[in-house]
Order: sequence, then structure tokens, then C-alpha cells
Amino acid sequence: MVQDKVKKQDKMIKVYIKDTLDKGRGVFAAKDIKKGDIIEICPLIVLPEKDDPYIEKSNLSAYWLRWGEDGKKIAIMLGFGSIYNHAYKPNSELCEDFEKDVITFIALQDIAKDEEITYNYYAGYDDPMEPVELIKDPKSENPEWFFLHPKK
Amino acid sequence: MQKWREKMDIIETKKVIQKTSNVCVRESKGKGRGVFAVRNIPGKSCIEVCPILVLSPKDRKWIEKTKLYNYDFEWGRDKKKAAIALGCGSLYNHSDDPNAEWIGDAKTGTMTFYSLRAIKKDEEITFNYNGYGSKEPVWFKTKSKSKIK
Repeated sequence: MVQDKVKKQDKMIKVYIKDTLDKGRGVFAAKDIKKGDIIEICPLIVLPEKDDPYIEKSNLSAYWLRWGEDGKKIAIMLGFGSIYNHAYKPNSELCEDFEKDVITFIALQDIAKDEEITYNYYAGYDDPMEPVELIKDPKSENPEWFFLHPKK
Repeated sequence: MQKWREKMDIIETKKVIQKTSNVCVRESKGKGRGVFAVRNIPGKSCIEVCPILVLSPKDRKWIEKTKLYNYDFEWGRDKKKAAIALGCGSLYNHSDDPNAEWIGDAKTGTMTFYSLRAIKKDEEITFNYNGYGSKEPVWFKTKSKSKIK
């Protein structure tokens, strides 16, 4: 019985971290994941609005995301949440739960074992409430705020 | 040639970080969130390998003005850098009588939490924020046991 439970726990683990060829660390599928499945549930560290300018100045500015109904708080994802890479055609999306302060990664399509899992960092930024400067053109040379590896 | 070889070694040792199913995050009475054992964990064994975000000494100064001050770990040989532990690493609570301890690995950029003694299922996993064996007080207010009850 106990072993069955342990196996069940093991089954819930769907991801591992490995170095990608050009993007630093990345999160990969440890097994086949079906469309609509939960990939990972990440706990968060939620920071108040007044911490914003300090976080912005540090290296962490590449890792935080806006949080709360009004988007004024800051959240840093634990679990493997902060390691996922960006893609404009991602295979997963975030589902935010402001009450429990967790983020759930859900598969947008079938993901094969050892495939990298990505999400769109800009999802939701085409919302008219967002400041204009945050909307960036994917066709521009370097639309990301982080360093992109030069294309060969 | 040798230098190249050394570089290769570093790349090769950058190993895969597996998620463990040893622990889960739950509410801990009076302490906010805490990390609990999902199964019986034997003594002196690995509980969890956490990936980390490393912050330079400059970044650390900024971070220490925020609420993240409660979460960062001293990092680097001179302990001037800071690290934010991902996984469940940032959510372990403090205890003067801990059942776990952590060890950092700069090469792979990971922190490994290991058990100091056997931990039973559903027991909370804690470590000493001031370093193993230290009796120094922590920087935040701890609630006395009677208050929690």
C-alpha cells in the first residue's frame, strides 16, 4: 500500500532541469504529457509594491512577474517556475491563483518526453490596461529584455 | 588543450536536476508555509536538490532592502553573494533543533538539503538558519510554543 502511494507521488513529477544548448538552464518533460494536463504547481514568494524599485535594479528583474488582481505586487516563482524559458509559440501556459498564491503550468499541447517546456513571457501583455512600453514587437530584432543568443 | 578539457568537465558535471517527491508545501501552524515529508526519509540522505538564482554582492544590497531579505542565503566562498533557493528551498522553516541541513554546490548551481536524522512521514522539515549547531537568535520574532497552542 505504502509503495503504491509512493509510486503515485513519483507519477506526479513531470519535469526536470537540464542545460539547454543556447539558453542556459531549461525545464524538460520527464515523461509524455497530454494536452490540458497540469505540468507543475509552483509556490510563490509574494513581495509588496514598495519592493518594486529595488528588485528592478537587481539581477532578479529577469525573474519576477506582476501579481495580484491589480498587478501591483511582485511574485517570484519557486519550484522550477523561474527556470522555464520563453517562446512565442509555447507549449504551456500559466494559470494564476491569487487566493492561494500559486501558479499552475498547464500543457497547451501534447508534449513528448525530453522536450523542452516553454511559456510566453508576454502572455497577457496585450491587455489594454498594461502600459504601452511593455508591448514589444516580436518581429523587432531583440524584443526580449534579456540577452538573446545570436542566431546563426 | 588542458584548459579546454577543464571546460568540458564543467559542462559535463552540470547535471540534470530531478524533482523529488520527498516533500510537499503545506500550512505550518503559526509559521505560515512549511515543508513537510511526504514519505519516511532515512537519516543522512538527500531530501531535495534545489536550483538557485545567484545574486552578485551589488544585487544583494538591493535585495536586502526588500522582503526577500527573509529568503536569501549567503553564497560564495566569501559569503558576499546571495542565493535564492527555488524548488521548496525558500520555504523551509527555522528550528534550533533541526532535522535537516543544506550544502551548496557552486559548480552545478544547486543547494542540496539532506536529513540529519530519520524523518517520519508528515513531519515538518526544518534547518537552522544560522548554521548547524548555532544557538544565536534569528532576526525575526519567533512565537513561543504556548502562543501557538
